[in-house]
Amino acid sequence: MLELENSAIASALINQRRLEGRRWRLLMLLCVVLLISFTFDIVTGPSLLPTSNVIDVLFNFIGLDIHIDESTRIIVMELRLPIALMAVIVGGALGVGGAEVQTLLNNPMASPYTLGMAAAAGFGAALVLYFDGLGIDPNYAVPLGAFLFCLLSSFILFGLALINNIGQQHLILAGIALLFLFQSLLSLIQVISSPELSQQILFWLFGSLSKATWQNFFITFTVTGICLIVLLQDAWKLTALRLGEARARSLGINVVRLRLKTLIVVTVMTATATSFVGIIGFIGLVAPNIARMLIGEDQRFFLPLSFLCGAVLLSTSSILSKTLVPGALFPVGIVTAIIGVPFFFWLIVFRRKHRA
Amino acid sequence: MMSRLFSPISIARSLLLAMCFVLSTASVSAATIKDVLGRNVEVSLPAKRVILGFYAEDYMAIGTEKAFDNIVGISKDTWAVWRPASWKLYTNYRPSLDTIPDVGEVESQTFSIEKVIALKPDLIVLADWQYKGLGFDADRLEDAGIPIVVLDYNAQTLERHLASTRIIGQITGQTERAETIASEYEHAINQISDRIAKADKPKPRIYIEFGNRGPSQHSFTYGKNMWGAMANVAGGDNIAAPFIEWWGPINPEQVLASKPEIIVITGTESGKSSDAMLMGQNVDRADSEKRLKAFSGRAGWSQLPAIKNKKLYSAYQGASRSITDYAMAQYFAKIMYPELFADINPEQTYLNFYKKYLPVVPKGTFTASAYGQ
Repeated sequence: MLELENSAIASALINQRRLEGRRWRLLMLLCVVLLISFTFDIVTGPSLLPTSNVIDVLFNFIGLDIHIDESTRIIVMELRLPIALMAVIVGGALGVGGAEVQTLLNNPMASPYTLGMAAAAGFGAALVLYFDGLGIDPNYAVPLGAFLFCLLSSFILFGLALINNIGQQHLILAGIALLFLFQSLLSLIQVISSPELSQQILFWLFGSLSKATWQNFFITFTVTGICLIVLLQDAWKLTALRLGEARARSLGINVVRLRLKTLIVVTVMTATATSFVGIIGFIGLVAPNIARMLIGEDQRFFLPLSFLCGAVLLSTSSILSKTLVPGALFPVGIVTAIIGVPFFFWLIVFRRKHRA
Repeated sequence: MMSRLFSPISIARSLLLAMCFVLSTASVSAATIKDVLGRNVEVSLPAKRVILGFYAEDYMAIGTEKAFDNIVGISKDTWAVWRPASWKLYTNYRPSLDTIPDVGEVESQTFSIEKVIALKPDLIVLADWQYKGLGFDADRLEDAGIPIVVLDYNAQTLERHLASTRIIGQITGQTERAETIASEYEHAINQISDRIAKADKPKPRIYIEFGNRGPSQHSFTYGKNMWGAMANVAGGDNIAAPFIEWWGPINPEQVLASKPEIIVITGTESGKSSDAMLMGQNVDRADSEKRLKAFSGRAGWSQLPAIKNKKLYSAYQGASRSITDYAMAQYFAKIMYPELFADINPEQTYLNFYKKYLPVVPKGTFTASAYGQ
């Protein structure tokens, strides 16, 4: 009897280990894909620099004595590298943000975007532009405005999340209501501002990686890194949450506390990313869904894979936005949806067949 | 040692060195240009590698065609896409224009900082709206050591028109030619305001609309700049001024309530297939007049003083925000105060500018009246 039980446990363990091995390999594979995509992102660009020049600059940067042209150095070191790094970090942050919101609300259609966070950030940016930066340098004032309003909209959600008898459904509804509210307020500002200003607001709303600099990359990198560590510490609790709030409670998890903590972390991460690159809505929704299809709900893997999926999506979009028409440049926010949606559909259809 | 230092040879040598130094700095000539925003921009003149964002026609008129030998990049859409007829006219004459690298367009967010830097320009010349639109990206270019000089003909003010013209003269080394063109512009504008001031008549109420949507839909009108500013210069009372800050659509009811005495519908060459107002190169006058007349059929317009008195006119949209636009200022003045400007033929003024300063002369319809006046 005991032996039988032991062998059942042993086979379950072996199964689990095999599964985990497969998941590790998948993570490694995605890392390689990301590395390739990142490399292409640095090598391509509207100026059509020869690849050898780009490599020269990188070798020069790590200390080799290679003569390089100053304008080539600026293009690679000051423009392409921060943009390529920003694509990875922002894509990852949006992917993880979406993953956690979906876990928290137990709904694969939720994302920071559908909870109104992006719309609030857009409204904050527009408001600052309308008041001409409120006397602060608009390069700092606009991201700051976006950040603060993103926090504000989340605080309203936090307030609701604190109430015990408000369920996940109601939180989603409240988020969508906030989305509409901030979109209307945004339209209001666009109506009352001059066409020139409303053009500037529109620019901001179009997500664009070209705003990336070393400075805002390091800020985003640090914030995202800290948030990821905090989230990974709660990985088990968050996995339990997917079994339903009642079961999570029965496992001794303080659901309200977990909810609040995760929401705050996600907000800070999303707000930071959004405030520097504008609204890129699609990744937060799709990256976690792709990750879930590939790897399942175990947060120890789901979280990093959501990050990698988001990063790969945005990084490849960045490449495509530069190479679709050589020499021209499309806003990356437009490209993400155009290439992401067909891929996503393909994945949904493929998975259906697979299951059947 | 002392004696050697002051020996004739060493003095001669140091003098020679000093002269060399002076000569070399003179040939590279680091100059300061004050742009229309009042910024002092350090540039080395003559600029050999220039990127031109906008105002290509003005740049050629003032800097001569040769100035384009030094243009290494342009924002192509602002010319080839926004003004295709003009682009065709100039590229037929000078096919090499089409081979100048494109740096993208600011409003559609395709302007590429990377491409600009890769072209290694000495100088970038941008319109005020482009400089503002680029915002942070403009700072990046300046951080990369590329000076930006800002021009502004869109503001449609005498001050900025003249300043922009003189700046182009400085950049291209055509200061005298620039001075001539600037003073002709100033003279034409002063002539208009002097005559109107002397006559001391009540200002006619004027309504201007960009006719790109045809009679069935109301399109943009202008407040402070572009045609709005021009209406002011020409002694008109712009009915849109209290309601429209820069440009935008006005409530159609407001047009009826304001009872304009003069109406101008502007047009471009595009929109042949719709009922849009057509004006400009290779546009047939009879077609323009027919399309213009259709605007008088808008609901309630038959009761407006402008329509009752047959004061419905059209002007070429492409002839604004440029140093050539005093012709249009003359036209606005002439339709509002016909008796004061009987001796002036604005369309001829427009074509004469081309004959005098540009290598091409457009053919077509640039001013028109619905009732053949």
